[in-house]
Formats: sequence, C-alpha cells, structure tokens
Amino acid sequence: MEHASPLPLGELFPFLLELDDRLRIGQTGPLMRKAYPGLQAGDFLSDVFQPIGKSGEFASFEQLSAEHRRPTAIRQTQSPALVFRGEWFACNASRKLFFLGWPWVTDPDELTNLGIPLHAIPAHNPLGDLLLLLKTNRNTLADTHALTEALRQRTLALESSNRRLQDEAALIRAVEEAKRANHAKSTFLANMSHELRTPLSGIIGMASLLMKRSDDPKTRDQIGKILTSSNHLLAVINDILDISKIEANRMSLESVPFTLSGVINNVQNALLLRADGHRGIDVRIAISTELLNRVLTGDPLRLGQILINLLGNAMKFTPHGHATVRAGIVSTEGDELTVHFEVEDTGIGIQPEDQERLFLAFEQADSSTSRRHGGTGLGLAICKRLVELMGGSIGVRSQPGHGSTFWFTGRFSDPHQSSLPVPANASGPATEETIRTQFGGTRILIADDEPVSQEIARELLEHAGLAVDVACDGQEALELSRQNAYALILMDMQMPRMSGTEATRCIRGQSQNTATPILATTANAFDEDRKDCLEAGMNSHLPKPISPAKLYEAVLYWLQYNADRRD
Amino acid sequence: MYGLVNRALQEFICTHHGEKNWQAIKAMAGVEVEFFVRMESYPDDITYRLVGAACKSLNIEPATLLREFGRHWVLFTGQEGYGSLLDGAGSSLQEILTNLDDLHVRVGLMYPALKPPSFSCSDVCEDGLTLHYFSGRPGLAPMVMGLIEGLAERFGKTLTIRQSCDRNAGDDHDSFDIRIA
Repeated sequence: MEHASPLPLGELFPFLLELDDRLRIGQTGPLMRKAYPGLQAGDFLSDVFQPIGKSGEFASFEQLSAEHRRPTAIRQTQSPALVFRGEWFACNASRKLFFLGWPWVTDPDELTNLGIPLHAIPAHNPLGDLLLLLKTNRNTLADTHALTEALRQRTLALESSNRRLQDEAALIRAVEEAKRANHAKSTFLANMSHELRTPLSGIIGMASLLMKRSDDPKTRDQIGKILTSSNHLLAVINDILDISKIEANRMSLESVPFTLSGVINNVQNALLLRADGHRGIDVRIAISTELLNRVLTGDPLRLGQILINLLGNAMKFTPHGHATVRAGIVSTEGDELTVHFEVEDTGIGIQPEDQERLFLAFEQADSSTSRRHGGTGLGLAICKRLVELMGGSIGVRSQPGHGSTFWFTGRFSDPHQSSLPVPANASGPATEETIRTQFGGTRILIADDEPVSQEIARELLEHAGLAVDVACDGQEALELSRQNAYALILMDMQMPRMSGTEATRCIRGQSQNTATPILATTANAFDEDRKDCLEAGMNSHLPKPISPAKLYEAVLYWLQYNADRRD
Repeated sequence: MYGLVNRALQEFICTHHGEKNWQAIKAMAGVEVEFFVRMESYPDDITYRLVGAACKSLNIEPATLLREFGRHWVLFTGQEGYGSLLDGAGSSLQEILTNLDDLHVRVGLMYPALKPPSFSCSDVCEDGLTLHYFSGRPGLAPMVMGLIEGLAERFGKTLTIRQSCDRNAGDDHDSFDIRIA
C-alpha cells in the first residue's frame, strides 16, 4: 500500500496518524514512517499503539470521536519508552480520525536514536528549542552540582584550616604559658638563690673569720667541716642556678682575653681547696707551653668550671693513680681556633650503658653514686651545655676498671695580640698580705643592709689593714661618699631606702667619688644583675657568697687600678 | 558573554597549553572567577582580558588565537551537548551556514542576555557562498573564520575562506567568501 500523505497535513504534522472508522491506520506522516518503518497501512491501531491512562485500550471509533480535540498520549506497543503527545481530531462527515501529535522526548538523542535528525523538525516547530532548553537546564543543574561540590571542598578546606589555626593558636598559647612559667621559675630561682646565698654567705664568712682567730686544732677542724659543708651546699646551689640559667637562655658567655695557664692554675687552686682534692692522686698537665701561654679570647671562668668539674670527677672516682689534662689545637678557621681538651683518669671507669645518660640533667651513672660521692648529677649536664655554648661537643671513652677519658672541644678567638692585658692570678694569703703592705690604712666604704654581711666584709678587710666605713643603705652610702673620698666602694644591690644601683648613679653624678671603683656585692647571680650594675656605673660585680680569697683578690685588683688611675 | 564562551576558552587553553598556563593567564588578566557557570552572563570585558592575556602569555597573535578558538568552539559546543542544535540547523555545510542567522535568533530568544551576532548569506551556489557577519563586538572576525572551518571539519569538507569585507578596514560589516572543495 501507498504511504502518501496529503499536503499540507503531513507537512504540518510529520507524526500524523489517519484512522478509518474501524480504527485501521491509513495515511501516516513522514517522520512517523521514519520512526517506524514497519508500520503498514491497514494495521489496526490497537495492534501498534496503546493509550496511556483511561481504559488502557482503544475501544471504538465513537469512543475516540468523543475525545475530539482533547489532549491524549499514546505509546508504541513494541517501544513503550517512546510516547507521543497530541490530540484526536474527529471528522464525522468522512468518518475519519486523525492523531495530531509529537514525540514526547526530553533529549535530542532520543530522536536521533529513532533515526530522526533534528533538522528534520520544521524550524517553525518549537520542539527543537524546547529540547535545547532542557539540555541547558541539565547543564545548569550539572554546574550547580559542580559548584556545590566545589563549595563543599572549600568548606572542608576552610574547616581544616580553621582547625589548624586553632591548634596553632592553642600551641602559641601553650608556648606563651610555658614561657611565662619558665620566667616565673627563673624569677623564683633567682629569689631562692638570693635567699639561700645570703645566709650561706653569713655562714661561710663567719666561719672564715672564726678560722682566722682560732688556734685550737679541734675548733679549727670543726670550723673546717662547717666550711666544707657550706662550700658543698654552695656548689649545689650554683649548679642548680647554672642549669636554670642555661634552660632559661639566660646564660651568656664572656669574651675576654685569657691564657690556658691562668685557667689551669685557677682550676688547680680551686681543687686544692676542696676536701676531695686532698686525696693525693697525681694530677698531670700535658699541654704544650706554647698553647698554655697563647692568648685566646673566650670565657675563662666557664672553661675553668668545665675543667674543675671533669677533673673533680676524675679525682672523685680515682682512688689510686693519676689524672691527666691534655689540650691541643685541632683546627683553625680565620681567627677562630678549636681546642680539644681531655681529662683522663685511671679510676673505676663507667659501664657502656651508663655512658650515654651521663650528660643528661639529674642523671648519674649509678644512683648510689650520689650517696657515696655526693653531687647533684648536674655537673656533666652543665658542662655539656657550656661546651655547646662554646660551639663544641663533649663525650667520654671509658672501660670499667680501666679509667675514663672525658673530652670536649671549644671554639675560641685568637686575637693575634699577645700584648692584650690578661688579668693576673692571685692567691688568697699572698693577696691579703699584699693589701696590707701596699694599701694599709687606705679608706674604703662598704654599703650593705645585712648586718652579718657587713660584719664579715668589715672584719676581713680590716684584717687586711684597710680603714673601713660602713653604710646601712644606699642613702647613707651616698651621704658618706659626698663627705669622704674613698679608694674603693663595695656596694650591695638590694638595700632599703635607696638601692645600690640608684646610689651608684647618684655617686657618679655628684660626690667626692665620681671615679672611685665601685664593686657590686650581691647574692643575685644572673647575668642581667651584672648588666644592671655595669649600666649604673659600677666597675665590676662580685656574686655572694664571696670567699675571703675572692674578696681580697678583687679588692687588691681595684685598689691597684685606683692607684694607677690617680698616678 | 555567557559563561559557556569563557568555559570554552578555558578548555581550549588547558587542552593545548596546560592548566598551569591557564592559571597564569587568569592571574595576568586579573580574573578571579574560579568557575564559569555556562548559562550565567559575564561582562564581555572578562573574555577580552582573557584573550589578551593568553596572546601575551603564549606569544600568539590575537587573530591566530581567535581563529583556533573558533575551530575549537564547534568541537566544544558539540561535546557540551549543543551538537544537536547544530544538527538541527542543517544537514549540510551550506544549509547550516544559511541557517546560521536563524540558529542565533533562536539562541537569542532563549538567552536574552546573549546579544548574539547576526548572519546573512549571498551568492549561494553549489560550491560556496558569501557569509556576512554583523556584531556589536569588535575584533571577533577571525573567530568566525575558525568557526566556519570547524563546521567544515564536522561535515568532512575542505574549503578556502577569504575575508572580502573588513570592519577594521572601514567596511560596515565583515564578510567571507567561502569556496567548498
């Protein structure tokens, strides 16, 4: 049968279906034929299509005629996904029915899959545009999803960043709190140090005075024990103070010219004064004369402290035999040189598993060590930190039963100027005698609010032949210094009415002693205290408790300085 | 311009020159938009700044870049689901070029902020035609030439194009003589 479609109905409705009164398909639109090539004229409508909704079947011509101009939807029986939406048009005169409709598609691909190209749809028909709009809506929806996902990712990143910032803020707060706590600890230690050193100063000073006056051997022995115990306590306080200073980053090293011979001499003197220095083990110094006398720049006091510690340990743990101190230059870089030191002993040695713990604070090789040999367990930890401040390292080689060798390196400047002034070393008794001989009758001033300290200093210095005035506070010291010219002023820092630093500023401003050497004497032992003294116009700083030897040494030095200044 | 154009430019640069270059171009153009929504209208200035920065950064003449972009545009719109729109515009290169104006009228009706260009054809014969291009936006004639070449590729045709009228040379519009081999 022919499938010709009369114009213009087929042109206007390319999906046209024409039915007779028995509901047989007659003419069809060109696109309907393209979509269903198997469609034959004469096919019954219900064999090929079925209605959507209502009764679910096409009943009769009359029933469909009653649907005239009403919207309807039908689907092809064999391809139920494809739906046509349109209307029935009944022509009762010719007893014909027409289905005028368009495929109900939401994507152009559905049409192209049926073999119907989009350009086959007449331009006047809005189906193509609607499909395009639907496509656009889908794209917009995809963009919305993409934006939502991007937003979600951004939110996650911000939340993560926020958490990190909170963590960092908490960390910063914790660090600030730790710093505050550490500062509080340092302040507490400084105060405690002052509180401990002041009475200790009294004990050591008074015991020293008693020793000078006493001839009774038993009394001298007992006073000696007081001094030994006091000095031991002082060493413990100094250790704790040192480690606190290092941990609070308040330890700074000096940079002054010195010779190793001076340092070694001081170390030996210091150890001789210690009770455990009387054991009689042989201490050998194996350092070349050239190096001993070479002028270096660094902190001789702290270098001495390390050597005293290592040599003190060697003597403590060597019942018989000897200890040897060696030193040698290992490298030179510009005007900096690195010196390697060794302290070797023939003592009891250290177990390998104990060697690593030795340099940790509060650790000793054996907990029984402190019971047997005393000590805080801080000595080597302090040495390690001091060596690190000197740009070096420290270690130990040891074999149990065959002694130990502690070594360390330190970096020093080589000023290449052997003419630099190097402080002279002075020993106790000789210094006291020298003061008496050279400066007997010289007038000096002691300012101290603490009666015990006053008494000790006055007696020691009067014993050395000096004429001593005493002021009980800064105000009195100022008044006396305006009335009298002194060769030297010893000034305590913390005093009522007027502090030592304030009094010094006033004395430097207007008095008879604007250029007189002023030495600070205080139990405050931090570097800042020394800095405050120097800034106020003082010449030097003697931390309390001051041993008679150190007091005489300093007084002699500054009396000589004053005499030279006047010449 | 609609975000679709900027998205096409982004894809074109990323495909041919890499994501890193695109980010550098965006920074150079001072464009802070991270995601171009296809159906959102953006100021023309953004597109011009991006093209300018791309030419500078990649050391390519603007005409060359726009022509390549025009070719890419046909491919891109096909991928983005607008191929059917092109399909609907005609079954041959000549038919599609003849319907180009209708296509843009339809798109303009659907997207009122688009301000699409206008086209007309003259001297239509079997082996070619003259395409007239009218646009309120200056400097995009090379893109139209690329677009014609892209359509020819879509239909597997080779052609030669000669610009017969040039707005830059004082003509009131641009036109192109197209010969299909």
